[in-house]
Parts: sequence; C-alpha cells; structure tokens
Amino acid sequence: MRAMWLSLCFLVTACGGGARSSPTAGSPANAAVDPSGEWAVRWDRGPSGWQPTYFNGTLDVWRDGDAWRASLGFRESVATYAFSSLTVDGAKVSVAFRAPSQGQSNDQFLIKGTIHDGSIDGEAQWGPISWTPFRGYLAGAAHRPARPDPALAITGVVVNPDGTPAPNAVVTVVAGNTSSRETTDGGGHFTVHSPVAGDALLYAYEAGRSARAQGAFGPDKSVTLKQVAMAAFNPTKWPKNFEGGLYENATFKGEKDTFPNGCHICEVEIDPDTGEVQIVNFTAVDDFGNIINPMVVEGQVHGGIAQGVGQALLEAAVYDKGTGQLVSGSYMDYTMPRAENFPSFKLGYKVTPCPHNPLGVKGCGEAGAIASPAAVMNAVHNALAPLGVTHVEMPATSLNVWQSIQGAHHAAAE
Amino acid sequence: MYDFTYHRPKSLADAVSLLKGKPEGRVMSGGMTLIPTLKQRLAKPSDVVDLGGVKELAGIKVEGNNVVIGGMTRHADVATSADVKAAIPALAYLAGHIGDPQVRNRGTIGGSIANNDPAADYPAAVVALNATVISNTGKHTADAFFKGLFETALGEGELVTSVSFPKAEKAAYMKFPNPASRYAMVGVFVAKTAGGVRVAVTGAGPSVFRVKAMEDALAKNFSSAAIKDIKIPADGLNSDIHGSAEYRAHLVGVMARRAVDAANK
Repeated sequence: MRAMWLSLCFLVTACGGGARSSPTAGSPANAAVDPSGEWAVRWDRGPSGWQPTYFNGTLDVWRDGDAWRASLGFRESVATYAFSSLTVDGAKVSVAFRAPSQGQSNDQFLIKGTIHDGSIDGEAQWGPISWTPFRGYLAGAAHRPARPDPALAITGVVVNPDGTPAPNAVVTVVAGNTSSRETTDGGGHFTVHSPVAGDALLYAYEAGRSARAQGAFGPDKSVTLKQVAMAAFNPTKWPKNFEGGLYENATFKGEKDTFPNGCHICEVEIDPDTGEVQIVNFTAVDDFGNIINPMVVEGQVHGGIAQGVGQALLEAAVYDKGTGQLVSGSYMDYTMPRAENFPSFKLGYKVTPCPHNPLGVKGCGEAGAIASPAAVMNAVHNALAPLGVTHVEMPATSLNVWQSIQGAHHAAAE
Repeated sequence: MYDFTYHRPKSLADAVSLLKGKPEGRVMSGGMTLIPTLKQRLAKPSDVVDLGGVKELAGIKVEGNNVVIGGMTRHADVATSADVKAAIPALAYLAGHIGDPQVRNRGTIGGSIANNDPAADYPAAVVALNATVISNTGKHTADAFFKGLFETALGEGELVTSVSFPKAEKAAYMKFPNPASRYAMVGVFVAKTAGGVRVAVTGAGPSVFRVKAMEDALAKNFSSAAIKDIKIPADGLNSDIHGSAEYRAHLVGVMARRAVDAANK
C-alpha cells in the first residue's frame, strides 16, 4: 500500500487587531497574510472567499525590531505529517488532532488514544482537513503522552514589543521553524519548533520555576503541567521577556511508510447464459499491525472490498465516442455496487506490529479496495478459462463477460 | 421545474372536465416519470391533474374469469393482492419486481401503461395475457393499445380507468434488469390462457412486442425445449452501454426459456 500524504496543518486563530503582520521579502508570492493589520491569516479560498483555515506550508513569525513579521511558505514536499496539539487554558486542557475524519470514525479511535497523564484530562477535537488513509497511524503516533517538557513547546501568545500582550490578539500560531529541535521517543519522532515568542514553553517552564522560587508551589515540589500553565497565564508571574500563554504541539513525521499486507480470496459463479457474475465467497486476511478499534477496521475493509468489487464488476465512466458526451452520467446508467452484489465477507487478521511508529499500526483504509479487484478478476478469468476466454475487460459486466464467451466460441470455431 | 397549475380532482368526471380545453395539460397518476421530467425541465405543462384523489380508479376486483385492476392501483397493492396472487401469480410477481419499494408504493398500473416506457414491466403482462385496457371513452385490446416508443392508442383527454386481465392457466415473467437502473433490459412474459399462448417482450425493443415463432412452438409443446433453437433477430432492438442489440436478442431467448420453465413449475 502506498503512503498518501497528509497535509501539514497550521491553525491560526485570531481575534481582533493590534499585532500587525506582513509578508517579508523573499516570501513566496502565494503567501497570504491579511494586510489589514488583523491576525486573520488568509489561507485558502473557501466557498465564500478567502477564509482563515488550515494551511499547507510553513509559517514563521518573528520580531523584527519593533514590528512583528510573518512569512508563509508552501511546502513542496508531500511528506506525511500529523498534528496533535495540547492547549492549556486555565484549568482546561484540550488536545486537538489535526487529522480529521473522512469517514474513518476518528471519534472512535481517537477517544481510545486520548491521554490521561497526571493532572491532564484530555479531550479530542478535530478539524476540517486531511488527506491520508494513514491518519490513525499519524494522529495516533503524534499523540504521545505530553509531558511538561520544554522541548515540546512551539507556540506562545503574541505580545507587543514592550512585552505586554497584544490587545485581543491571542494567536495560536503553530509551527514555525526558526529554532527547531528534535527528540525521538521510541519509534515516534517529534519535531518541535518555537519561533513565536521564542521557546515559549521553556519560558513557561521558567515561569513555573519562577513561581516556585517565589514560593507559589513550595520548595522541592514538582511542578505539574497544569501548575505551569496557571503561571503561564498569570502576567504577574511572568519572567522578563516571557510573552505568556502555554501551547504545545507535537508533530509526527512518518520517516518510513507502513506496509500492511494481506491475502484476499474470491470465489465467483458465472451464469453461462447471461454472463452474470455472482460473488459467492470472499475471504480476506490482512495484517494491519496493532488494531486500535476492530469495528472500525472491519468497516474499512468492508467498504474497501465493496469499492473494489464495484471497480471490478460494475462501475464504468463511459463516453460517447462521437460526441464526447458522458453517457454514464447518472445512477440510472452508472452502476454502483448494491448489497445484493456481495456475500457476507469472511475476515481475519494477522497482527505484526509495525516497527516504524509507536503504536505499531499500519494503514487499513485501502487494503480492501486494492486487493479485491485483482481477486475478483482472477476468479472471473479462472472461471472462464475452460471456455477458452483469456481476457475480460474491467468492469466484468454481464455484457462484457457474455461477449468474451462469444468471442472464445467464435475463435474456437475458426 | 417550471410553474404549472396543480389540480387534485376527487372524481373521474372532474378529472376529465379539468383536462378539457387544456392541450398542454398533463395527467399525473403515480408521478414516477412525470415528476423527474418536470424537475429536469424536460416538460412544461400548463396544468397537472393529479389523479391521486380519485378513489374510484384504485382497487382490484375479480369479475368472472377476469382480474380487473383500477388504473390508480399501486404496484405494491397488485404485488400483495390475494386475488391477483390466486388468479395470476406471475402478475403479482411482476408488480413486486418493478423498481424499488418507493416506486412500487407510488407508481400505478395506469400510469405505467399510459406512459409505455420501452423498459417498463407491465406492458409485457398486458400483451402476453391479452388484457383489455379500459378507459373513460372505451376499450382497447392489448395489441392495439401499445403503438410504439412512449406511444399508445389513448386519445386526448382519455384516461386509463382499469385493466382487465384474463386468468392464466400458466404464466411467468422473467426479467434481466439493467444493472444500474433496474429497469428491464429484457423482460419476457409467457402466458397460456384460454385464448392461447403468448410471449411478450419488454425492454429489448422500442416498445413491447410478441414473438410469434415462440408462441407457435409453445402452443404445440409448452416446454423450454420447444423454443431452445428459436433465434431472435437483433435488428431494430435497443442497444446501449449495458447491452448491445445482439446481447438483448440473446437474452430474449434465455429469459423466455426460463419463463416457460417457471410457468411449468
């Protein structure tokens, strides 16, 4: 299975004006920063025009003398990334996954992946963009238990040059890359950047230490992330040059693909009079590594097989050769697979944990769609071989199969 | 959809008078064809006269040797009717395999045969059973009723009020559905009644047609073996992405043999 790409997503939330951003010289022409002076970064053209949204690329924000500057760059590579962010806002801790659902039941498996680490009560959120069938692998891997580790900090609250918070400009900026550090954790790979407000969490941590030094937490006691967060949002406890706030993001970059594999076996019966193909048995055994939610995986395999069977036997976009008109332009002519086209699938799993990511998981979304067309078509050819049929075009509709049988008869007669 | 004036008469007489003087008016029974046509702006009627409120047109009764089905009787009612199942089970089977449950609970026999879609199921039963189509102005034999592609013997302002089917000694309907639309790509209704044997084919040509050679062979010997060598010419048959004319011609033979076998069970 091929690795699809997941966009590197940056979330910028902005409210009100105050801090000003502008593209710097040399930033890409397609960089889009609102010149109005508000921290509304225009990422994309939505249905109603430019909208602040998730963004594929890099965002750098830095202080340039008295001004704040930002630069956007589109990432050329299609490397696999996923975001998992931890936000501490007062007493509330939320975890945001930038690997939203395209129908993979994220609400099912992300809840299972939510952390409970000491004082942190996690809650899952997800947003509107993602491109990968590997989201479970990515989101899950990105979402390692967060620790009060400065190395994991990447963002902060934008403040004015004098150190006071920019009015109404609470900006959750994610992922610049001017001072990146990397830590590895098992098979997981965290890349963290903190250009905004300069190592924000380090400062936050220092804020916590400062608070402790002031006796806020008492001597010789450990400081929980929650305590650090409380201090990070309390301007009276900030050290000099600290810009306040505490946001953490972890990015997981899949250095290696996962390689799910499996075996699909299909048995068909073909009506020799009409050419109709009926699948009477379909068995699939796949190795998806560790399975987080078996129900979701089963659903993915079912859907994939159905898609593959549709491709093998039924679905075709047909154009009129003379006019270029799409003649299979509605479901009156484009054949979607129906329940009656399938037997009850027999599914099995062989679990070999993937060594390339902390969860030991592999992609499962496309397995059914990749294996089933080949299994179905091989079965069709095997069934027709005694009649002398050597090739049937996909989709193997009744008409195509019947014509192949007729062709073999004619060839035999000649 | 273009604007039109909607009428919902309560009696046949009111429906007929509403249509008078409205050459651009259209009758709606189940609306299974008319509504999609209107939605796609393929028709622009001045008036739509909905027969849904005309209770006298719906219902099934047995009159002597005939089963009389009102024009506004829904397919689902024909499919589940004890009278139809007892007298002509093949007709109940046919009605139960039209479209999908939504269509069967809206579509009507009168609407189906008045529309005369080349892939509709009912015309095969009407012709094979040699039914009589009864209208507000008179009667039509099955053979005279279906004139061609979407064309019938109905005159202006003439509505199908009922269809009278003679009971069958043996009958069966076999359909090879279009894989996408489920309309009949080929549907063959074979019937042996007091009037003789008839074989009617829908879906394959521009309109329902009979296969005389099969009828003659089956009259002598009502078995699938009797018609196994009868070839249907492909000339003039429908051809589309789901079935060439040759494939349809071949399927007529297959469906006819299977219908005969089913009728003999």
